Amino acid sequence: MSSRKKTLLKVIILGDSGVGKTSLMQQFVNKKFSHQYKATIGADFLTKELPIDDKTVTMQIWDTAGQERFQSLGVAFYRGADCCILVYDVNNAKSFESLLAWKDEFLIQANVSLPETFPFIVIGNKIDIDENKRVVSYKKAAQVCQQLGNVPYFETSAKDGINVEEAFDVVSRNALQQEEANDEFNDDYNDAINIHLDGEAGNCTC
Amino acid sequence: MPPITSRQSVPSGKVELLYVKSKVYLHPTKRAQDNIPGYLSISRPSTNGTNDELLLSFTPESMLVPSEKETFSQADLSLQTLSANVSGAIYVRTPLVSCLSSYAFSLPLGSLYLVQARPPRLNLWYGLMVLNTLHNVDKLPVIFFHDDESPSTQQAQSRQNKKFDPFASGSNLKFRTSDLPWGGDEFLDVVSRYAVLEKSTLERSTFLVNPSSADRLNFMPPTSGASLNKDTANTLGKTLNGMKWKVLETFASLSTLAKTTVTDIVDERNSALPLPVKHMLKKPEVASLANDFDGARIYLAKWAMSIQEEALKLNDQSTFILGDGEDDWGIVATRRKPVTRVEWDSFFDSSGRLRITDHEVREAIFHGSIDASVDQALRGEIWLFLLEVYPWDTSLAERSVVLESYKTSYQELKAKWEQDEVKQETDLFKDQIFRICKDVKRTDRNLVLFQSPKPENGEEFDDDDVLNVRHPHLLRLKNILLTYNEYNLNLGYVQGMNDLLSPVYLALYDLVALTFWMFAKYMDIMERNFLRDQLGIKQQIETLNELINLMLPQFYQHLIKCNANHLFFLFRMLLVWFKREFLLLDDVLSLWDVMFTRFYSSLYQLFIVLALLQKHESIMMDYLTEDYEILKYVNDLAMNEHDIDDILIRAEKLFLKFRRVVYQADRGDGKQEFLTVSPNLRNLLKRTIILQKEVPRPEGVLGG
Repeated sequence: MSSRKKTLLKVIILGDSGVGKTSLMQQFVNKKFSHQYKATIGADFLTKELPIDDKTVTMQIWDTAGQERFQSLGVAFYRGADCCILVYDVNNAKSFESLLAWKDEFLIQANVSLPETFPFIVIGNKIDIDENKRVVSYKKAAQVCQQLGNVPYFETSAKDGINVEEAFDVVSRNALQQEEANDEFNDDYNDAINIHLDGEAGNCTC
Repeated sequence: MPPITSRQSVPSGKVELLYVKSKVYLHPTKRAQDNIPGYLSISRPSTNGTNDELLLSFTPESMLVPSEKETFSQADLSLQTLSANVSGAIYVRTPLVSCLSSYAFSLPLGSLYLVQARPPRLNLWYGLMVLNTLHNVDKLPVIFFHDDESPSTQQAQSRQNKKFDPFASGSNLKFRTSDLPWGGDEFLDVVSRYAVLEKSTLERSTFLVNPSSADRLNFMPPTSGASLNKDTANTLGKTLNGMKWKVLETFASLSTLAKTTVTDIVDERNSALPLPVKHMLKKPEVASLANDFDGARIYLAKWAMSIQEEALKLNDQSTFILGDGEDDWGIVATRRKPVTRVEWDSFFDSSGRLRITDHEVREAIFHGSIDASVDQALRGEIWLFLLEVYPWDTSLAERSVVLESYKTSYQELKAKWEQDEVKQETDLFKDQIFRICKDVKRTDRNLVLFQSPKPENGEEFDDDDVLNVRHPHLLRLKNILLTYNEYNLNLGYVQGMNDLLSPVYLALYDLVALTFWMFAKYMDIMERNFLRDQLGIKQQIETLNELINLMLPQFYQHLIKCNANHLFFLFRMLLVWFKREFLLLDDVLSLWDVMFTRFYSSLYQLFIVLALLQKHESIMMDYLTEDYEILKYVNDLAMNEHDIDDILIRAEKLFLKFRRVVYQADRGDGKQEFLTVSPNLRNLLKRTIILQKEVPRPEGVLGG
């Protein structure tokens, strides 16, 4: 691969309506929080350039609508994702219970080639809210994430900018790994085709 | 002998005038009474300075005391002919570099980069001049030469006329942009005395001041078709290599240039961008740069659009005829003035019964929308008829009876969930109330009515307790949505309905029961957008696929190339009828006025979508190559102000053209093969609402 080629990492944020997907994206990319965000309709993305070790990559972060029925139309944009962030609200049990459904939904829609190794990250958002309103404990969440396949887990406050950088740092590293693995996979795949075409096509036994 | 010299040194705080033109104006607005008269001058700040240090200045008359004005006026006449300056140097106060309150500006001649001249002609009464500096990001105002008021130009013109041959080439001016003498040519002549002035071969009446080799390449490419001069090509290549990111910034500064070349854009309607910019963008170095940086193409596309918008804004709408090209078939569409309270009331007789047909009312609103700026109740009052909450053929007395029954039935519907504790404990209800409260708290919070009051005692009024809605207006939104959730049990509340309710509520907010029923009527039309299987939206997208392919075939091909013909980028505007697409709510409401009339079609929203795409198609085709770029570009249009009349005129033209295509196809009387009109497309001519109801909710399915 030529060194000129840019690395573009595609990241999809999923989760129930109102858990803070837009806020997380805005906090990470623009370092701001607003009380005036509206419910996302359709999909939108922001990009951010960031250094990973000695490399600079561009992260394209996709924000989606939380209501399930609106998911099916936007699937074209999930293809080729390098990482998926599953977000729930630590003060809302239902949004936590939905995590598995979102994960499965993503794997189907994004048409991921190797679901077992595809990088997910779980974020429990809104830790700034009064501790006694919290319904999902750290312990419980971490345990479930382990069961989901050792998925990294972060607790954040998009409002106060707590832990957002850290979560996205892991997102970017895992996405880059996935991107490079995908590249290799595609290269191997292409090589295989070339060999096949160059070689004895007549010997095909199928 | 050099034309103007001064042996004495220039007194401190003063400059020596070398050139003055009186009655040069700035036109900060379109209104003549806002015009700012002043003196354009070139002056010498010191005796020993270079020509680059000469000052090019505009001094408003209002900044000068009478004696100074007198000096300038005399200089205007005396400096005009070269022979006249033997009388000695004329000194004035050093001009202000800039003054926010008075529009004065002054800059060294050496920083002048490019001058564009537009001589007066039939549709441009006063000739104008656009001055551009390369490094200065501040936009210099366009200057207008009011030659009919300027003594020195009058003098020159009468001299010319005395020769009885105004078109004679006998004039000794170096640069001529017009056959008739005007102040601008004289100004160019003066500038050329102190700077190298070269005419661009690419763009009409554009002159480069002290051009560099790269400038020459951009604005004066060899016309012979011979290969580019290697030196200049290398220079540009080096610049690009060295600059990388900065090149994009250069584009931005060029946009200042381009934005002011309004007349060009209007003259050459098919080309969105001035030629030098176009040529620059087509250079392979730039093309590869755009590919190197993510988002560069979106950036360029947005920038190109901003230039077009600027052109439209500055141009007088009444004289701008949209796309009167050959393919327009002479179709004319116009907007009329909005319907006001006075006009609306005149539609009714003393009993409050309509005295004209409802078709006539629809037509007036379709072509003009509603002006609710004076009387904010007007829009709600009209919508009640358009959405058929009130039947058209009722009197005032009859409507008050209807109103009472609406009030009663709303209270009954509301009581159905409010007083049913069993229902309130169901999973479905809990799911829905949670969803509604969440969304209500993020509905148009930028609007005054929905803003949180200042927190008292450190307590935030709108806190994180989701189910607790305390804001009085948000609470009403919540109640209306919950009542609708019960009223239409199969569908229930779905995200986006809050966006539809908010303007309805604003239009009628002190009449909650009527608000509910108007919203419910609106939802009859919109129900198809919110179905669980999304069928209604999918059908509209399918129809749009056919419509775009038929009406904007080249653009459609481009969408296919970008893998964007899934048209997901249109989802948001379809779902909530452009509610999120415009910066100003009034713009959204004007579109709703039009769509509510169903004057031509109950699917008129698709023609508005088509109009938006038509407006942006050339830019999207020139710059955007991926579906996500198109999505971003379309999403971000919401951050701009839009010319709604322009969009509505385009939509009507597109509709009329489409209708003609269908009629012709039906007649089939031509020699070519006519297309067969699909049922989808044929539906676009219908005015009856397409009702698509949600099926009963399957067991165990919640609101998602």
